[in-house]
Amino acid sequence: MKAKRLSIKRKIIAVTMLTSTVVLAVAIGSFIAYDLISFRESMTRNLVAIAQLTAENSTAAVAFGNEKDAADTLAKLRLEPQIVAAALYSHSGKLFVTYPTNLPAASFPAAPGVNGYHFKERHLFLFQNVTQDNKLLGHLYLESDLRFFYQRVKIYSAIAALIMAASLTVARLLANSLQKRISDPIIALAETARVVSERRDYSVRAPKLSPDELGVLTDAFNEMLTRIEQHAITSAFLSSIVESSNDAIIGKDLTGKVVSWNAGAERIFGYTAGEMVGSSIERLVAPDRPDEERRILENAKRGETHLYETVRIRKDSTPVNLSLAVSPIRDAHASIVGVSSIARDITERKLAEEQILRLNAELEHRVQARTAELTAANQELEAFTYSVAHDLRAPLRHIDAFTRILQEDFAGAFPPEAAQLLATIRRGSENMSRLVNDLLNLAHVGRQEMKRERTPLNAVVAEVITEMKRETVERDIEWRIADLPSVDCDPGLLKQVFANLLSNAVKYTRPRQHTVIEIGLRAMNDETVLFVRDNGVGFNMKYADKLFGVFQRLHRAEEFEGTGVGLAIVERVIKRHGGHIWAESELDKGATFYFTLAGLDEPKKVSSAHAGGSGVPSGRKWK
Amino acid sequence: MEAQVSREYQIKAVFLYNFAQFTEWPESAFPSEKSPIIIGVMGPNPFGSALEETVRGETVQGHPLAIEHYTRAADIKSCHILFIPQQEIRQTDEIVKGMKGKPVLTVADTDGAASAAAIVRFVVENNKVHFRINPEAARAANIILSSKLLRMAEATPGGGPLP
Repeated sequence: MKAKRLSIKRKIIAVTMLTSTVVLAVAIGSFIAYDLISFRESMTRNLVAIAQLTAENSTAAVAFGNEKDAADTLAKLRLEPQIVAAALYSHSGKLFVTYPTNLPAASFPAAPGVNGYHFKERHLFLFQNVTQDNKLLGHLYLESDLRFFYQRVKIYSAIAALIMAASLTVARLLANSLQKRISDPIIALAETARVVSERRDYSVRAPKLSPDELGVLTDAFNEMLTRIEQHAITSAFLSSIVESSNDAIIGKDLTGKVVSWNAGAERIFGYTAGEMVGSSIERLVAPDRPDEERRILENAKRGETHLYETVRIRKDSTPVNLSLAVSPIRDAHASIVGVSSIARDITERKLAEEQILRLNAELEHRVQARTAELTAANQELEAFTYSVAHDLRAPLRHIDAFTRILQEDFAGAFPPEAAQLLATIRRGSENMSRLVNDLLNLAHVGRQEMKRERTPLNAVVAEVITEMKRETVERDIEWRIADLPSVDCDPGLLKQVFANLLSNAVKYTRPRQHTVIEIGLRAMNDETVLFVRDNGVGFNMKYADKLFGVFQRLHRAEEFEGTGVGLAIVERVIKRHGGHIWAESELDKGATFYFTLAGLDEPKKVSSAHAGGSGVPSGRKWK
Repeated sequence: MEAQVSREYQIKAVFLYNFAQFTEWPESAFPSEKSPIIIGVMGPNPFGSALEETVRGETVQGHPLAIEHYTRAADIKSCHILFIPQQEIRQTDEIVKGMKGKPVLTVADTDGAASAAAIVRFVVENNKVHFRINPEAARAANIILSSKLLRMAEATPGGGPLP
């Protein structure tokens, strides 16, 4: 604990000093140990050499049992002060001569030991056989103290102490000045960290004092502060967005425990954040949907985001309709750690939706009723028209027949003015008859059952032109007829279409010296379209929408005769064939009527089938 | 056999054996490396069996040891050590001359004018056996004595080479 409270400076100095001390101690210790061991070895070797020499020199003295000579030999050992005792033993092991001579015999071993040496009680003891020519003559005993060894130890200890003291002093001075390089950046970093944590001020930055690892650390720390600063700003933004949201934004952990609860949630559910944070979201679940929240959690845990429309219970026990967006919350490693729910109160929307549905249903009902009424009225009207037209035919025939009789049988009986009036009556009755026929025709087109067969259009056109011969014989008309396909249709009705369109074209080109009428096929807006074009008087496009109405006429009857029913018939037929019709024109520049028919959109198929079937070579392609 | 041999001659027998250890003979003194070192005893044998017992089974520098006894000077053959006992001491000069410079370590039983020609002479003092050495005689006999032996002889009280 104490070591922890030391400042980094002291720690660095302590570590440096401890390291230096240990290194020095180990180095000096090893050196001294090595030296002392070698010294002891050389000391031992030396003593063995002395022993061997002395033994060699005392062979004769021992052999001849000459005490004086032996004593003289041993006396030479005084040159080696560390040898404190020596003795010679005879061959039979009897103590023979001692050194120094004044030492009592009791202080020597009673009998010689085995050849060799041993250390005991800070002395070195040695026995050496005295031999001559490999013959054992006696034994030499030497005892040496270790004074030189201990002297050396003392000297070394003193030197070691001096070296240690000097080295550690230098190390301490060096550590004092060098530790700043390490401790200063750390202290600066620590000070910055302290300021950050105390003041929550993420705008401070640590000064970078060195380019080494500490510099990297400082940079990383500053970078982290920058990120935290940005993060704090972002976080403040986000939390203010969350708080100001009208929706409930709720954070849950994976067990369904509420972690965050915004003001929107307080408003919608009536619980405060204090009441909900830490408790289970199950508090809000409606009793009739017990498993719902668990399933929602399971989906989110699988990483799925879902939208739900559901009901929850407020604090005041009233239900609230909610639209819920539930998505998983992931941590930095993309593993799912929680669930976010964004709930919107859709009670009002639900009410509005229900109201709209109710109104729609009502409207639908009304439209149906009105449509039925209208259909009935229409049918009634049509039936009435038909019966009127039908009933008008007989009186008309009478008027026409009797007028003709009057003209033919009583031609001379009438003054010229009366004959003139009769002619007018006949024209009127003929007009009326035509009108009645047209009306009956129109009604017929609407009611008649359609039969469908494959009809080559060129044949229909040719037939119509032939039947119009009476009206065209005196005219200069150039027919331009393209190769037309065959179409599945009612041939009689389609003939009426061409008859009306072509007779109109012939009629409205009457003022022209040279008439050009073109019947062709072209593609328009992805559709294949048939057209009939003339170079007649045309009409004002302003009235184009009135063209196909019944009794709608753009020209005076005095100028161009007609009942105003023909184009109505044409439109009705084309509609019944699944097509539509329209016209383009400009006053005095001619008119073009375009129309489509169901089945016309596969020109190639139709063309090839027709070409193959009839053996007629396929002609010009339409564009 | 003879009665108890005195302690003095027991020591002298050991000394004779010891001399063999501290003496170098020329190679010509031995016919082969295994030839024995022969210790000759002139005249009556004062050692009893002590000398035989001392040398039995011993070898010196690879040579076994053998003992020969001579009754007359003319009998002396090629011995290496010749012991001249007290009874024959007066013949010492004659015997040494008879060797004619042969490498024989002559050992006289006692020290005195009569035995001066011998290389080694025993001395008994204070009931202890010592010896004296005549280095001239040794040189003349072409024998090398160990310096230790010489030092020992010098250490003998009242000893030292004769003039």
